[in-house]
Amino acid sequence: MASVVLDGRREPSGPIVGVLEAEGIVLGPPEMLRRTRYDTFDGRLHGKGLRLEARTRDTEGHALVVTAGNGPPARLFLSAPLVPTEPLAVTTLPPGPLRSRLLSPAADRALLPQLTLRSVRRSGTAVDADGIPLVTVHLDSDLEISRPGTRPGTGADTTDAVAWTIEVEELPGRHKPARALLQTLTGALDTDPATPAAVEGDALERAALAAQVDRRGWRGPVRPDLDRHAAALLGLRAVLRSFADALDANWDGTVDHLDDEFLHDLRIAVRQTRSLLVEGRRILPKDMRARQREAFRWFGTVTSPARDLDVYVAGWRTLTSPLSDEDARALEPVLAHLAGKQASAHAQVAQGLRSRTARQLREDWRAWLDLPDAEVARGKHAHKPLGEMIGARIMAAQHQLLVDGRRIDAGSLATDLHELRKDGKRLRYLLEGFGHLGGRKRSRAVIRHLKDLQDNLGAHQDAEVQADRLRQTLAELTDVSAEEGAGEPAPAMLAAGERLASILDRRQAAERADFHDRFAAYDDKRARRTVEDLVARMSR
Amino acid sequence: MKVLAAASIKGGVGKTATAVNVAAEATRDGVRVLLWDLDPQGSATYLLRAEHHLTGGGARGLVGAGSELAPHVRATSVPGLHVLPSDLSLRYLDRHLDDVDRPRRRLGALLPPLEDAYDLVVLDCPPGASLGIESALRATDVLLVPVVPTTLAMLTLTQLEEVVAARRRRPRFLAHVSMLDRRKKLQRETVTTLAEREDVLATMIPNTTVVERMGPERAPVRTFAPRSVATAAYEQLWHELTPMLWR
Ligand SMILES: Nc1ncnc2c1ncn2[C@@H]1O[C@H](COP(=O)(O)OP(=O)(O)OP(=O)(O)O)[C@@H](O)[C@H]1O
Ligand SMILES: [Mg+2]
Repeated sequence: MASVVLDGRREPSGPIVGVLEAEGIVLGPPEMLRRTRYDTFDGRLHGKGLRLEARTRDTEGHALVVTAGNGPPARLFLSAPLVPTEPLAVTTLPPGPLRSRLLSPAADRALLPQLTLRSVRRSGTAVDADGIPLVTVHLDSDLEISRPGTRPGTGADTTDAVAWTIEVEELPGRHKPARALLQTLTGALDTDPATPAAVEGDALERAALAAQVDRRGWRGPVRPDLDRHAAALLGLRAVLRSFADALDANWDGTVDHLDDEFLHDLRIAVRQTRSLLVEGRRILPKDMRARQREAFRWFGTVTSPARDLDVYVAGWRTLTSPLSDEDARALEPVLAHLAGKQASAHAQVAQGLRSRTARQLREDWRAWLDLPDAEVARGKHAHKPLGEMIGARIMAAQHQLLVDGRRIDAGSLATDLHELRKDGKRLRYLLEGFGHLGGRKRSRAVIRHLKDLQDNLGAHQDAEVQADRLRQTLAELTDVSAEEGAGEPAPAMLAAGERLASILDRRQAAERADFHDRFAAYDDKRARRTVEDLVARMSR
Repeated sequence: MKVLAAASIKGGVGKTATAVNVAAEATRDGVRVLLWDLDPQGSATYLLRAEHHLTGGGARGLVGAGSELAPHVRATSVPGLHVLPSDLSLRYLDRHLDDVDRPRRRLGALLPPLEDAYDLVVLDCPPGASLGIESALRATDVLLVPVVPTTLAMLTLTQLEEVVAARRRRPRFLAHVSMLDRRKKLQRETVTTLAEREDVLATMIPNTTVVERMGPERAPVRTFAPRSVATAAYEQLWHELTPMLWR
């Protein structure tokens, strides 16, 4: 089962129709066809070998069409067309095979329109004596490709490199007729030197290629090639530049809140940048470092409430899963309340990121990153080897983590564990950014080991934050209903809320009880030696 | 990919009629369907105008090591519906299965390579509860049993339920009334009893000559009688099944 497409830039239809008719294929009347290709920002469907399109055709109506590889299309018929410039959420599709297939790769990411292909299509099928199809042909002409910007209103550019395409659709068990027809067609078109050879795929894929749609999508910033002997300042600047690329790439999607992952990735870029600005002491120029730390703290603050609420709302089902159905239902007003806050938090993010302050900060930062290396002011240790400088920072972070961790005992406060988690994060960012300078495998092993400890500390803190937020929300809801004169909120809700909060308390306590062993495993002689080894290698 | 099997211990109850018509209805929802005819009689193969023949050693080839289904698949006159034809050698299917390791996993093990190509596989089983059927049912998500509303049919229904219940990995068991003749008092009474069962679907397929005409027409009812009661009933049956296959 496959489809093959031929294309060209000059008007073909005259001779082709004749060639097809000689092969027993009578093309149907011309119909308007509009196809819009969708994928997530990070190309998850493409990664899974799937392609999604929304199709509108006179005789077929509106449908979502999914193809796997070069296989036959599966459809979901829609009662109305989709707006070809607007993102689509898989979760809004009705249950069925199509939704199930899209859900696992794209449950938490918006499907964004990438390009729209309009054409006039004529189709025809050759059948055998039993009426069973042998081969189907689609002739598309008057091709018009447009690429919607992901943001409504921003310029859509048009490409029209391809004027027509012929798709030859092979059917199962009918390889020969399809091949034969393809040969005939190629022969008939041979006179036109502008006709390239047939390629696997269909008109829409051909159009995506012509319009240079990046089918693989965003795959994270390009990681700079670091040299441990190079000057530390150069290395840091290269890494900071890649973080800035990630920030830029996720900016528009965050402002429009296309899905939660944009903000998440943007915040990772912000945190990594902040962390590196801290580590860059005596390497980066002093006043710039102070200014940018301030700027990135601002980015962090502006985006933090929205991210917390995203996590809470998206994780609601998992969070409430230990409750009875009745309790879960009773807590629905809490979710609704949080969702309302989430929406306004995102409005604030959008406002913040659209502000003049944000634009100024971003421009300043880019300007510094784009400065030629020779013009950059230097910290005292800017010229020292990158490996050595970062190695020292890793040792310092590791030392801090061990000292703080060993100090924790039964009497320690929860905040002491939160502080320890921060120590761990500092170390993790260093390892993730530069650990490979001491060997990829060794670095991955250290990160894995650290992750075991961080998971425990993370679960401990999450449980606390979730319980706090829940209790706080219940209190807010009580205030709201008092203000509205509605009296006390439903006792069932308060009771269910308290039950959930105490489950979270117990979870936190369990993680706390687990901490000792986890830390002991991290603070193990052999494990410590791996870190020392890694640092020794990167500093050599 | 989901697997729906039409099966029953009893013969001639409408398994093939249900399999072919439900498969055809599913394609109207854009679902890519493969109908796998497991019955050596090949009624479904005949109705879909495919050749009653499997290349490469027939049933033995299918069950043998390294076999593939894809090369046997054929298009049908219903767009989106493909068929895996039957072959007379399927009457020895049990014997061939007996020769291999884990025979009950054998047929299901052939399906994963088709995972990307189809959303739904409809199995048309021969009557009975043989090893071949058990093997097919092990890969099945929903087992659909047509029941002609007579007392005896009820008995075979319970029997098949027992066969299924004995297995660890078992499909969801559902029955639907088939060939209902409302003029018969006994059938009306039986239907009332059946309707109380949770595993019996609400849709009832009436006894009508339109279904019989599938033979001479060699097509699903929708192709030649789109506005008939039978077509409407199969459409409704499919719509009742959809949420049970995909939640
Ligand atoms: N609803 C119906 N109304 C009238 N005739 C029907 C109906 N359903 C099936 N039949 C007829 O009854 C006969 C048996 O139907 P069908 O082949 O679908 O049953 P089956 O269970 O698959 O049989 P087998 O056990 O032989 O495989 C066929 O001739 C068919 O045309
Ligand atoms: Mg049959």
